[in-house]
Amino acid sequence: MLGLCWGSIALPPLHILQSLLSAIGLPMAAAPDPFTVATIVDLRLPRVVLALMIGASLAQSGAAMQGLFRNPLADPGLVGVASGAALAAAAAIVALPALAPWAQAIATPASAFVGGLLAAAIAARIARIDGATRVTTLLLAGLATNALAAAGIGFLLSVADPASLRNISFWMYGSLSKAGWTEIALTAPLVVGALIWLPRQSQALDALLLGEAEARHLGVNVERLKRSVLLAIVLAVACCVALAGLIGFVGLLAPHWVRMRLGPGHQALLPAAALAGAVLMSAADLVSRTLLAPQELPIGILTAAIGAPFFLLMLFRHRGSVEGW
Amino acid sequence: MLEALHVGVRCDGRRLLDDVSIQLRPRRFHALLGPNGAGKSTLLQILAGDREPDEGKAQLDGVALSSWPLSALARRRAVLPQHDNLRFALRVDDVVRLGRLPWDEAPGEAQSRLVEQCLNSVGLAGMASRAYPSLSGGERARAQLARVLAQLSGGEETSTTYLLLDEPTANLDLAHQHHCLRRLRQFVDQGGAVLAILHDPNQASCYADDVTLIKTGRIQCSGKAADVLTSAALSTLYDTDLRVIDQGWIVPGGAIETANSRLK
Repeated sequence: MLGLCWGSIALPPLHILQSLLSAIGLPMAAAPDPFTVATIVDLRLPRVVLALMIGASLAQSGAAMQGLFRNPLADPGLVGVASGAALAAAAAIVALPALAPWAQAIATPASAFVGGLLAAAIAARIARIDGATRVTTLLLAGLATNALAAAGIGFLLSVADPASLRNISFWMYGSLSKAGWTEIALTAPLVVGALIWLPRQSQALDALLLGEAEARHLGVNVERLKRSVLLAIVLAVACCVALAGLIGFVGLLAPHWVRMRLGPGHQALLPAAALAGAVLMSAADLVSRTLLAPQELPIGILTAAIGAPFFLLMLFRHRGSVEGW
Repeated sequence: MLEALHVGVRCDGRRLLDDVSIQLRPRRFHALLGPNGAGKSTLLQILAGDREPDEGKAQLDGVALSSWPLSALARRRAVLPQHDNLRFALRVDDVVRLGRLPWDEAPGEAQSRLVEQCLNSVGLAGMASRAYPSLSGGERARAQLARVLAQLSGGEETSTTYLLLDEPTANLDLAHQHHCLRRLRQFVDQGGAVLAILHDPNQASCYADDVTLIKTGRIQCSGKAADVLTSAALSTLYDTDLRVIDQGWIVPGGAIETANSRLK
């Protein structure tokens, strides 16, 4: 609600309520002017919905991924999913400039999805020895994947025309400004689907915390669980990247914060992380819109500016201890 | 009955197991002894269904382990790993509760009571709400034991449950080693079957009904504990002078001589 009120133009809450009601067709005695209605319904509302959706999705994906890899530092951004998706999206933008806007709107997220899947598969495959995922190897593999993707994006930046350049830089820093109702409608089924499906795997993910062999001894089909959870995460994260570019550290910050309060059991962790991520994201969006108003600070810069020091603090606090995340 | 029949396992051209057969029967505590690298853990993996043998077969009640649905298998056999991998701060009772996963039951009063019983039976009463990583190594090993005991509780009386343990006493102090083995003995006396990898032949002679000696992937001998645990067999197994003395206690010959010379 705050996200609807505050912006480069401040609007009183009453106007918002009136606009929303008139937009769904209710006759209003004192209807606000059409400009206000348009600002709210077509500009601010999709942003807020997008922020909630992406925040929830990134945070829950981060939480699930940390459980999957049994490491609290696993983040879709660290293991290459997001940068792979961004590279593929950038490649699509540069390679297919001639496509009609609607075709691009499909081709870009589609290639982001494939790129994310590929990058995750590469990192996960490299990190697996004797059926066990080695965490340090995974993070290093993710680092290498990120560097490779950065090199690829750099190359694309140097060959891209100005229009594509702007598009690509949008991906690099993350922004909620591009997406409208169409984009939300296209991706919502996947993102919301993953949001609903992942918590149903809570018990199996809890068992996986014991170790892969131990989870199998408890009757969990570990390979299938890993594949399907990873697929759900990649699906959701690739959609998020396709909609809003690279937004880092939400998937690290929110789950960690929730885990400190509710413990690592996934039953509570996954929904709570989604909630925390949604709140965090809409707050970040609010700040990004108002801090330099009327200009906009890319939200990815903001989350990185908050998230990176936090990540370092986590490392600092835990550097001595092998256990007790 | 849980059994491995003429099992062979190869890895990188080395034979880890060669023509190994072993049978776990209800109400029997079976100890597996052997030097490091003999193939004990590999055999445990075969019986747990973690690994397909290259030759021979592993089966439960006449059905190949690989044909059992994972959750049905999980209600019949549990595995206590040698090392624990849990680094997240789950509560101790939640760790034990994970043992109930294959039963697909609603959490409730009965489940909580069972979890509490299992914790009490391994001497962790009152530790339920502690964070798992804050426990000592020995306490963690006992929490894991409580978890596998919870996993095998409450099945039908007629079907035997099998508990496979890889060095269950490794992290425990002397008192808890015997507490743990007594608890396993109780599990066996209530109708279950145990296979435990042990390093102390005295523990095997005190608690086990059957003993299998395994060396370089082959079974050296197998049978009733009293028949298998002889000076000759153990000395061959460990390539060192071992003697069975009064009342079946097994002592390294070197230790006796050293002690005698120091006493002079």
